[in-house]
Amino acid sequence: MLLGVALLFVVVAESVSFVTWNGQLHDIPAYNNTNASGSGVANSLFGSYSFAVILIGLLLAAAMIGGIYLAKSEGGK
Amino acid sequence: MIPPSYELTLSAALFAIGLFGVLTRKNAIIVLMSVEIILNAAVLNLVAFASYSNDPSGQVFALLAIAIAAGEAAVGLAIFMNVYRTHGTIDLDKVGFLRW
Repeated sequence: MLLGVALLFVVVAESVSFVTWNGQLHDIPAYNNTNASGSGVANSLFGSYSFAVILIGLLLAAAMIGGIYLAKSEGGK
Repeated sequence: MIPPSYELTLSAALFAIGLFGVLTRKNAIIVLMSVEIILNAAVLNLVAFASYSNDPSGQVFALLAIAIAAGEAAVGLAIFMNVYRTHGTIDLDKVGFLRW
């Protein structure tokens, strides 16, 4: 099992290393206040993906309620 | 700035560690921790490619994936606590009531 996982890691790491990466990593600002639809994380999060944020909030609320219900139940009774 | 291949190699290592934990361990909590490591590998890939392409969408998806992982961990731990109450163990070899 360990050998198979190590082989998988070696294959993936070698294939990643042989790729020529032309660019480099950039700093993405948390919020771009110069432009409302700018390239900041918060701009995208509450702009383009606001519906996804609402869905994730509903999912977390459902997980919280389900977790509390399961934790408080008396072992299947 | 470090090249993206370093982050991708680290992500592959995290994925391999998580996969090894899922395949070999019998304790349900350790399996859940290994799944979280695999999710963190995916999140690291998202952040690396978002920084590489200068696009914040990958970081947004990373935040959403972290939130989903938090919900999964909460529900999973509650389920394991219930399983421990009913069976007295969370050994995945001994808990077989979900099999058909």
